[in-house]
Amino acid sequence: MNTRRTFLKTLGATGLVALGTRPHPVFARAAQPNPDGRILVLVQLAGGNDGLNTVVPFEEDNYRKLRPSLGIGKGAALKLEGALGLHPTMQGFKELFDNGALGIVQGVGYPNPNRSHFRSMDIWHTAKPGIEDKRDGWLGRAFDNMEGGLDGQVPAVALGTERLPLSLVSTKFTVPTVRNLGDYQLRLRGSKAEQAAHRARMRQLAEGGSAGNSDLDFLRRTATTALDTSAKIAEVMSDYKPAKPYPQNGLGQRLKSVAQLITADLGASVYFVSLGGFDTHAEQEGPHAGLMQELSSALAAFHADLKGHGLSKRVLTATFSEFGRRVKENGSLGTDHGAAGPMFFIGDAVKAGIYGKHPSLTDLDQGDLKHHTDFRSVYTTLLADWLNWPAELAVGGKFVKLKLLA
Amino acid sequence: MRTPLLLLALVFSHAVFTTNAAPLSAAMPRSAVGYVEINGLGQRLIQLRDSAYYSDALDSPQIKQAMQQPQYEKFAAGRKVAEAYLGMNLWTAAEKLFGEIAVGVYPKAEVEQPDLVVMIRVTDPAAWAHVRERLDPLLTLAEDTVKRETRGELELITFEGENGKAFVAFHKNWITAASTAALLDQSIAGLRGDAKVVVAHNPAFKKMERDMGAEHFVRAWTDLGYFRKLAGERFNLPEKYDDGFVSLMFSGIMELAMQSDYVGLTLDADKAGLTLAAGIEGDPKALGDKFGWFFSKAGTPGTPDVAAVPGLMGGLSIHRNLSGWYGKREDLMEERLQAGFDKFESDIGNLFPGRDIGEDIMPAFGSTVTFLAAKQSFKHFKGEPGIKLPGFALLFDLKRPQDGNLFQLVFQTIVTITNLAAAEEGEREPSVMTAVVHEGVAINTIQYLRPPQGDRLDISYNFMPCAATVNGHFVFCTSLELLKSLVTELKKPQNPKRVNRNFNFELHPHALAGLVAANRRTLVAKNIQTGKPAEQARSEIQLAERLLKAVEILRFSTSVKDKGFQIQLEGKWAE
Amino acid sequence: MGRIKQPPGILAPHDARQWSRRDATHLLWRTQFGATAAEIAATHKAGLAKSLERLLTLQKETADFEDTESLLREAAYDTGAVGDLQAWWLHRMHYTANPLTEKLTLFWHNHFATSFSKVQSVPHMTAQNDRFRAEALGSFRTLLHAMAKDVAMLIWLDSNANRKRHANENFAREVMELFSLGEGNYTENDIKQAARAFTGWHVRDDKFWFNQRQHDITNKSLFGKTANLDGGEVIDLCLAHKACARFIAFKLLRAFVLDQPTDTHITALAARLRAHDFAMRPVMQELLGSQLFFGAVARHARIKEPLELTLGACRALEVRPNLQAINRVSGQLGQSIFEPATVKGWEGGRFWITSASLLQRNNFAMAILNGQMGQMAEPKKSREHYRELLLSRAVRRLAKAKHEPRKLVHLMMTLPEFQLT
Repeated sequence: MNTRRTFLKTLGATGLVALGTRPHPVFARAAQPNPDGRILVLVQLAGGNDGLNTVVPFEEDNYRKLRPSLGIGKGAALKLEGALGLHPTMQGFKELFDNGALGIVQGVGYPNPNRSHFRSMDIWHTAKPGIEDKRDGWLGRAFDNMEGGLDGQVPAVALGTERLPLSLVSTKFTVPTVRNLGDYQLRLRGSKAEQAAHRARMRQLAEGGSAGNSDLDFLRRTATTALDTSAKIAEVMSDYKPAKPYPQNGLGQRLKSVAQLITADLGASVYFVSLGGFDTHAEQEGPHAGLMQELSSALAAFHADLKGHGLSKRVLTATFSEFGRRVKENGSLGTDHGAAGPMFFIGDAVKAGIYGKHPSLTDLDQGDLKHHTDFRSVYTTLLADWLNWPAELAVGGKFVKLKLLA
Repeated sequence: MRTPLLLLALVFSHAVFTTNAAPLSAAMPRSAVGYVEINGLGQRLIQLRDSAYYSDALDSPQIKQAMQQPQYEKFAAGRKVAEAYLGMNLWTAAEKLFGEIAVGVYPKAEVEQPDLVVMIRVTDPAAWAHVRERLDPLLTLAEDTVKRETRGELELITFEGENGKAFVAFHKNWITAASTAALLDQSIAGLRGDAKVVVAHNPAFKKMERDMGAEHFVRAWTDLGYFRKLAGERFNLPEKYDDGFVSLMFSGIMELAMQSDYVGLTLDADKAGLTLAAGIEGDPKALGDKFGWFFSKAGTPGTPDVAAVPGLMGGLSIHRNLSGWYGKREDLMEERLQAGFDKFESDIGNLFPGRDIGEDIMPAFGSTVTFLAAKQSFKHFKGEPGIKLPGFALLFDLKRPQDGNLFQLVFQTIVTITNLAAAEEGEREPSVMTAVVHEGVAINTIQYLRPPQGDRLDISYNFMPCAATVNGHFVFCTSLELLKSLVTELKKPQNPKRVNRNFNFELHPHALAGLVAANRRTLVAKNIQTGKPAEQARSEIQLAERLLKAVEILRFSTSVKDKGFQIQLEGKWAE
Repeated sequence: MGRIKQPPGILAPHDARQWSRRDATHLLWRTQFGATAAEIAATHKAGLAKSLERLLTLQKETADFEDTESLLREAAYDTGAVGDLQAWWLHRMHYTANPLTEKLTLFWHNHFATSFSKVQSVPHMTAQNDRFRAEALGSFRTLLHAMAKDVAMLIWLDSNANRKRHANENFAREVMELFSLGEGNYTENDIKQAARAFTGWHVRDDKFWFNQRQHDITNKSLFGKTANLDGGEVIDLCLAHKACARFIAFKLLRAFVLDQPTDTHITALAARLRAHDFAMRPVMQELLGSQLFFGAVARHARIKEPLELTLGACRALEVRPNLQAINRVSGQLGQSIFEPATVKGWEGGRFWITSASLLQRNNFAMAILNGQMGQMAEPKKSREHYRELLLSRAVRRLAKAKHEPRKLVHLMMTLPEFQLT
């Protein structure tokens, strides 16, 4: 669909050819960073989501015993399969599950779990549990290792975050953080007609590049893409009709912006948004219900909107959190930092269902759930099976893939 | 930007109020919806010209720069032509002509542009006769657009331009102009003392004179009853507010204004300072329960002056029944704001485990909340921060003194959290909680394990958290020194005769100048960073310091009266 | 060491008889952050030899510059804030009489990329920056030795964790991978050996401190040499490694000559680095005066770094830059000085450009014309004037069309050609 993505590009851009540290194709076949325009949307649940009250094992004795006040009863939970149910406010997720668009991987984590927010978050972002190396993130490494680079395409966009999430930090690319879509507007002066004329003139002057490999050809290609994309974004900003209305919450509005950027064909392969407030040490019930409601309603609207725009096959959304929470509730009606937790996957490409067993509530590690699926297996699946990108360098080794995609 | 402000201040600071005839409100046709009068403007302009401030301002680099602009050169040339023509210096012309000036506004049905009446009563009829003579050839030249006729001692002139007509009458003592012939006739009758129906007879105008007095340098008045007929009963404001801050701070005033017959505005100035006041009438009690939380009772002390601690830079206190406001939030504010309140409750709830914000916490607040800033020293360190900020304090009355413990607990929680965060970042010395006693009052604060050293300490060392319960108040503060001064002040008995104030914002620019001086280098650097040459950047900061030093106090306050409500802005110049 | 021979081949001196106004513009854009019309005229008139001499010898700064520089520096110490630190350096870049020194300082900052975000100290960051400046036209050998003891660097690479029984490889790895040899020219064992040589190179009381008790005094083997090596000897072994001169040559070529150097270019410059034992002044003198530098292959052969774009445009259009605004925009475009995103510094070249960053570059053009980057006079000069200052090349498609000057300048600044220098 995007012919510009098939342009040739050489490794010479990095100059490394000359150093002899890489193979030497004069015109390497351009990477197809995104051959079918596939897109990954990552939703970070910051603070450590209480996975146990998200995907609820309502019939387990130990659940009722260790969660005497916070536990969600069989009657309240939204039934999924067997003795598992969703938090009662997650009606949106329940519908996605029933419609075959939601996959849940249970018990995701890593060995020797770290219970500090900062450290565990870094581990999830860098995919390096063993060593403290924060120079780049797992997706950043994936961009850096893309054969032939990205030919001027925006590798990823982070929305609504002040700093670039470490996951997206690349040692080569500048990944934009966008506070609002206005950042992608071409700013011009004068009346509408004057602006349109000027923009057309700019585009005309930028054109004329061949598919060649000079810097100027590269700049011309990128300039016309930039102008076209910004025009499309201006269009979707002024006249965007979501297929279904988004909830008036922060995550809903951020995901609406993501949908607008995808509709405008920005070209980024990865979008990153965050939802905070999961560090529920005290009086957890109300706030956690609010967060579950926000997460579920926002993502359900997002999926419905993408479906309405015919994009739900191209977009896969995944959630993650730095850790789950302690199985036993604490004395102030809250929960403390824990370990393994569930991840959600949404999209038409997802093979709906529940993957892996619910971690045991009797065989605990210092009071926390034990993981059975390494998060790097999930990352490998997302990179290799979904984006068709090389995964090994990005996640730091070979990991078993999950059969998550239809 | 600052220079016009300076000049404006000068106009008012050195003027003396004088008047010699019945006010023009007794001449202005009755049906006005709005009315403005300025008394003794000419005289004040002369005082301005002769003041030291004016010559100072002319010497300032900003004005000198402005005088080199082509626009100024055009203006100067035009002024020369006009002065030659009139045979009179423009300052003198203003002095002799601008005795009293008044403007009336008359709405027209279905037309956006209202009719206007302007009146000027001259100070010196001889000078006016001279100017009028000089105008004659001009009027003759403009024959096709000007019609002139003489009626007794009056000269009537009709101008016809593209935007309609203007009707003017010259008298030896006054000038009046109107946008319709009928209004001109009424104005002439008024100025001759022949009119029966004038603005001064409007009951709503009389109420304003009763509440706000008749003699002011400037006064403006609007007939709100009439205005409501034009603009809608609620001035097109929604029933529920969509902004919590506006609701808390202003909704009572706006609701009261909707019941008032008038809104009046007066401006007075003398050598010591200026006062700008706005007033409406109405009985807050008539607003009922829904807005009862907003008003203090007339005749009670209301909110006190900001405690006069040494080096006070400014502060604000509001007199509100916070619990009342919070409890009625669903009636007062739009539905979509309510979710924000719920989130607020769950966030702040972490600080008050086991308590309900609406039920337990809000009712603990008394009627007054005060925030203030004052100079602080850094004697307790072996050094000082690179950026020197004032000490800040947040005070509120406690409805029940025992609730002080509730807030002490919050204070300790906050200190513990910040201490942990500081330790994690490693930028601040670790500290322990401690208590000191000052004049018999226990103050909780922190103590650094090693006193911080160095002349450029981190900005966070401006904040030394401390808290105390004193005399029915709870105080959070960022400077132990300031909190001790506050304890001393709060233990003094309150002045029972003070003005009732519902809201009080004080600024002590003189003290702020000290803050600018202490951080001068940083401010100059920031100014240079915006692209200015060093010399300009320095002189701008110096000018700011001079301006601040010229003002002793600025006060913005509101007070509840028996039959109304007043808003006041007062300024006092430094000696 | 005998007389140093004139460089042969592509680095042979450019023929001074061909010196043109366009050559002067090219030289200025590569050695400072943009050029004014007056500077181009003066440089053209002075000729290549004199211009190079001016660029390579220390020029006296004006009293005004010194005064403002020290005020901004002190203010940064006062606030301890990175924004003030950045403004201090941006002021230097724009107003100094020694622009090449600042460009090389930026080059070394990128080479030894250290970030305020971890060091969190204005004094340490300025001390490191002053060191780069002192050795800008000095010696890379001296600089590399100095960086091994630089406080900001030691904090940045966790040197206090490098102890006798628990060697921390961070610094040793970066010395080889990023500072001297480049990936692929050393083994993991080399790093382990080198890390032991740097054990005990710590920071105490804000100064370098050789912690003897934590220093490993057993034998280490590196690049064929086995002895009780210390850090200084490791650095000398790296400098002597054949990959080192090539690695520095490659980076210098990318920063000053062309984004895509060939093996021939690298080999030629590496030989000169060796011949001069990494002394930067003679190397830069030869490079900037060479046939390669003035050859067609080097013209418009670099994508402008964000600071070349932003400060360069201010200089060309004679705008006194609002340093805070320039800092913000350059940061958005990916170049936040004192805060490089990773230890690898900025990759540069095509990696500066994505459709998003190009759009922001275009928006910068509008911002500067709107006076948001500092007061700007309405553009009234001729097409030719702006063409030389902004593009320094002919653009056929723009030649004939009629535009009012303001629009014309905007079109020039949004041309793909404008991104190149």
